[in-house]
Amino acid sequence: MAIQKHRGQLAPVKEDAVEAERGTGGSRGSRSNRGNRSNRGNRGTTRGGSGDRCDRGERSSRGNNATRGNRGSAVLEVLVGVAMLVFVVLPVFSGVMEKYILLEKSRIIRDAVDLTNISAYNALDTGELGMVRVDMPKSEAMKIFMDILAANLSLNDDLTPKPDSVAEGLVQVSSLEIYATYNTDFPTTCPNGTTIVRPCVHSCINIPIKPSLFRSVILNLLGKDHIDAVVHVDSEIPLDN
Amino acid sequence: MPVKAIVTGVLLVLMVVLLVSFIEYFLPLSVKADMDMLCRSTLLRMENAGGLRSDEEEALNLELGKIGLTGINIDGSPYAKQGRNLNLRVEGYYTYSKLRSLFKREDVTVHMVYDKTTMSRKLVN
Repeated sequence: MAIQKHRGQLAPVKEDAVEAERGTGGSRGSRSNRGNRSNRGNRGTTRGGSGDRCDRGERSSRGNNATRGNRGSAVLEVLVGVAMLVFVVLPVFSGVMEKYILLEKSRIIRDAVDLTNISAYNALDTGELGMVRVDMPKSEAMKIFMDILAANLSLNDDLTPKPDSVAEGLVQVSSLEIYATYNTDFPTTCPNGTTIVRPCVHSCINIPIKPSLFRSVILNLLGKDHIDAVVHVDSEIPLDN
Repeated sequence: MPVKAIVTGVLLVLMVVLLVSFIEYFLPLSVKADMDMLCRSTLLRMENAGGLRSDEEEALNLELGKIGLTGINIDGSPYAKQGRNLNLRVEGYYTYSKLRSLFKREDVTVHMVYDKTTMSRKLVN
């Protein structure tokens, strides 16, 4: 049934095509619209002659050139886009990320050192405190400082790093100063240049850290095995009076 | 013309995907910084009080929950006299949705630990 119906629909179209070849125009029935369109097209080419063919050829060659141009610009755009991603976006992001991670590491170390400084309060001579004087034996303060620093930065007793430590090598205590009432005329200045007006503990440590992203590339560029982070913290001793 | 539009669209999508995945790298770092700040202030209070009180522990648990941590485990020294070590160890899990590939997101869980030691300053006569 379906085939017959199909054939039935095709038949008038064939007639129209024959009429179009003759140049007599087509019937205007609804079924013959396709035939009419093809008819018009054929008439256009036959009437136009060789000049029209040339125009069409130029148009098609222009079209080809335009298509090639579009393809070329698309390829160029892909290249520019990829180059921007590889040479601009990725390095900028890596730089920002690396800087952020280093700052975070520095913050963690600074917090640990601050806590360690505060722990050195415990070297306060409680007998002297009773007389509203702050006194602190330096050797005891240093011992407490080293112990608490090792605990907070996950270091061994000799300040070498444990596997889960933020440090990548031996941590060195550059300076530990105690500015107390018995040994200091306030205001004074710490070795790193900060003005000190109250009793406080000053410490400065060198801690080796390594970049997280592109570690080998950055270290090769710097020509170093690690980056030395210098962390300087001055923690004031709280006094009630 | 359509080729150009498609190429521009694909590049834009790639750029957006990269940007989103880059920004998502900062999420756990930011949460860890918040966690450290909360734990540090609790440790300083512990130093003054000579130990971790239960109300402090509950408050810390609540605050950590607010920043998105789950499975929180707080272990702090309950009492230490002047000159003794006080330790605070806090563990938690942070789960967030992360872009894994071009159009695929997955939940990622990060284990976060805060473990610091200080000394008690509380004098008991």
